[in-house]
Amino acid sequence: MATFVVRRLASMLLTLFMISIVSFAAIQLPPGDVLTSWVTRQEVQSGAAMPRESLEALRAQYGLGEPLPLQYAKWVSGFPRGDFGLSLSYGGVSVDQLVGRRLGMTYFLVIATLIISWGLAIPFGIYAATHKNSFPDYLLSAVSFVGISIPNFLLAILYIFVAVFLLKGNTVGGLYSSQYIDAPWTWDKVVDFLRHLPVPLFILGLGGMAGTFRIMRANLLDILDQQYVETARAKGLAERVVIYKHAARIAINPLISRLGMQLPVLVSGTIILSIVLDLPTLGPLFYTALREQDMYLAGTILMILAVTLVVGNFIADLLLAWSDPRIRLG
Amino acid sequence: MFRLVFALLVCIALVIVPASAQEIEYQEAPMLAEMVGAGTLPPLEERLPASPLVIEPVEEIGTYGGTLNIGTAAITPYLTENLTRETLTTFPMPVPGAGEPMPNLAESWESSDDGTQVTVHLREGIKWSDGEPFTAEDIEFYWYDIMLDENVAIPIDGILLVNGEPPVLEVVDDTTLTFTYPSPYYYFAEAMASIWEIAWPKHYMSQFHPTYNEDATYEELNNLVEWHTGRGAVTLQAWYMVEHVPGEVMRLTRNPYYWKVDTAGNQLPYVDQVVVDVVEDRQAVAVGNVTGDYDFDTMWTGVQHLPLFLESMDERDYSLGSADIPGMLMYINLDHSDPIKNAAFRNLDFRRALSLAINRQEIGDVLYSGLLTPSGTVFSPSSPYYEEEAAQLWATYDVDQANALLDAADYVDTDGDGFREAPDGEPLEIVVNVAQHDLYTPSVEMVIEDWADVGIKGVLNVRDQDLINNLYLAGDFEVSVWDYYGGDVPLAGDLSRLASTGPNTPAWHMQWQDLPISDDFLEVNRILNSATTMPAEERNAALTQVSRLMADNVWNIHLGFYRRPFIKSNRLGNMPNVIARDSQVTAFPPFQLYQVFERYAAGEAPAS
Repeated sequence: MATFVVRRLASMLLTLFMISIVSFAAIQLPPGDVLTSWVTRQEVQSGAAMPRESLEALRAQYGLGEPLPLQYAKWVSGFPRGDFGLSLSYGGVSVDQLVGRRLGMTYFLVIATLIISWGLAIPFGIYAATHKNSFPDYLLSAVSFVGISIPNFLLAILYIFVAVFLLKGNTVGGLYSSQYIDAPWTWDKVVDFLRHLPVPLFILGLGGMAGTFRIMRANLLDILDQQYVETARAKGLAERVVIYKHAARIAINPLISRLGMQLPVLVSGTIILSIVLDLPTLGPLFYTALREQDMYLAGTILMILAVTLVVGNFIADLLLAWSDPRIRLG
Repeated sequence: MFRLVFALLVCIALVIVPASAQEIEYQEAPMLAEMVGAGTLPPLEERLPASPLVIEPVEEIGTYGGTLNIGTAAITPYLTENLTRETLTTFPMPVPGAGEPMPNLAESWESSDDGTQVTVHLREGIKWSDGEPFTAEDIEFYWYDIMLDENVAIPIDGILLVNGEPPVLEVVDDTTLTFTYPSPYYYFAEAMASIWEIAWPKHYMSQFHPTYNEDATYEELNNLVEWHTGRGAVTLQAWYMVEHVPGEVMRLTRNPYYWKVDTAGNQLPYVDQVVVDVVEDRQAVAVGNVTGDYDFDTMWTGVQHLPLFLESMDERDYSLGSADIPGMLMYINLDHSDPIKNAAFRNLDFRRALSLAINRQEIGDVLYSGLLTPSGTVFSPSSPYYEEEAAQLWATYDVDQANALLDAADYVDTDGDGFREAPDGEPLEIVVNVAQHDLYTPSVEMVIEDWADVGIKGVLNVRDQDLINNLYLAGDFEVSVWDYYGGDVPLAGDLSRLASTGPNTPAWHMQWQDLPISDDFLEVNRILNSATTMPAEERNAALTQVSRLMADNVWNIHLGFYRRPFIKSNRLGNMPNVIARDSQVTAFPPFQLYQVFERYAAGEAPAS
């Protein structure tokens, strides 16, 4: 087991290194750089073109004229110090400050979504598989098809339409009211936060639940047909034991291996939803950074996604090894 | 008898006391009075200048207190954060055709007889928001150490230049300075009212400037410029920033040293706090204004949101005002590298046909809720340079004339596919670059349909605005779409969008020096370059001519000026119903927000 962990850790580091190179280079592929849009803003404001000397001076200050490998090396060498560069599109704020503020909230949402969607999908999946072609099965399947086929941002737009224009309500968007932004976590803020939480959690959870439910149901149906299940039944085991100890335990394996993939998908999958619902997650930051070619910001978020992916996969592997002894190495 | 005398005395007192109070006694907001009482702030008389600027409110004298809530979709502050602007002069309350600029930071100014030197006398006793005195040196600092220092990422405003050169600024004493121009200059008050800023707090900002502090770097200074100016920590504006969470919220509070009062002697602004909520998308700004989370918006919502605003207007507590602004402009690349397209775009009849073929009225009815006034590329009707007849030149829908012009120019359909080919039989396609925009993109779709009716094949190319703009600036486009900068004060706008002025070259005509499109273009260049050196009457005549030449030559295609609705909460007093807006960002701010006040708090019901 120890060698397995060490080997996995080594390959993780290598993967991350490769990803960092590719992402850094890919962001710079389109023409122009982050200064172009920034300078355009200044020019629109003043109604005059910025002198070429100023542009050159700025490029030099931000190291934009340097060769790509050197820029990359400078960026990466800041990591140990917690220095991830500056974000010009946000007016020269340091990237760690921007990302740090939103990282916690992003993971809170992602993990809460995961818990809710798995917590609902697995029991529902087991129920639907064991009651195949019954009315509840059809109902659950119908709901999950809706969850899979409607993109979460569309649900958010529907929610705004219903809440504001049909129900004449007021609360839309955000995770807390603006007076609580950057405020300490007082009781009032927690209450305000909990009031804002259900809508994004429901929308995110529905999509996540739907996919997981389909997989759980299909796997369990496959397994229920297999001979060892028959054997277990023939041994005279209670149906409960057959389902939960013998069938469901195996059927859950593909879900665990999917966990590693699901974490970064949840992070990046919330970009448009976060824009529509105005959620302070990494999504909108990432979108802006890519649009404005703000390479340090975009690169840092890409790295966070990559770390999430490899760590998620690593955890999934460990979980899988724990849940299914056949997979353990050595 | 006694009662009659008493009543008479009361009447006299009523007349006399307020009159004298208006002259001497100034009032301050309760929150500041408290601070003065606690000894943390000097008394009002010490904070106000000797003669504060007196502002006449739009409707009535307001009351103190409350919070303005604003939603913005800009991640950087300059667009909606620009609540007030403090320069030497200012346009009066910004309604269309507002008239001559009036004193602001400057109490008076006079030109020398030959017009080459302007002497400015600053209002005495103005203080920065931290209580330090404001002097001519702050202007000198901003002029030489910020705008004219090429290491600082703030260019000098185009309107201040004469033939590409800035005037020489000299400080005479604390409240007097002179601007010396290489040739006579007749646009000083207008130019100063059109720019965004004229002074930075030298006592505060010099610590970040390498010229004054050896440890400071330009890199750090450039990172500060967006946040430490105007709305920053030390300002001359009505509110200063106390907290900023990048990408989420900005909180501002009243400047206790603000140097303007209303006609009753109340120190402005009326409103205590401003909260600017940064949201991720302009549609969120629109919804927030409908639900009452935000109090007004002129930037992110427009005619495309009119159905949304009208939908809930009866049940909710807001109303609509309007602003006349220029519409969408299609920039035609006169120097395209493809010889076939180059020949087509340089052909005057071809361009005129492109414009004539557009059914502007229909586009206005469908997409602008009927609020579009079809017009060619002329200066705004609210500018002094507008002529009705010029506005209609080549802008009146006429398919027959468009077809005739194209036939005569030898653009005919030779292969029978329904689209015209170039004179040598090569196929002709016009790619129109447009940003993903909820008004411009569908407008271009309709233009392309109209073009198809006269046999011109247009192709829609929708991309991100930054990319479209980069391609535009590089001259790498056929037709590119963005705002038109021909509003109320066109000289204050980005002139490089209209012609070549000073060092600027319009991206749609990069080769104007070697291969000018026509003498008319050179004439427009000449006039725009020298307009500020012409006396007012001559200038008006010359710019009227520019307006006509632009429309007649159709170098770029304008859809028309339109009445843009803006949303405002009914809880605010003194909000104007009609404002002038030059374009999205140039010219002066839409309201003098310091004279807006809160009738009741957000979320409360109006007293009926």
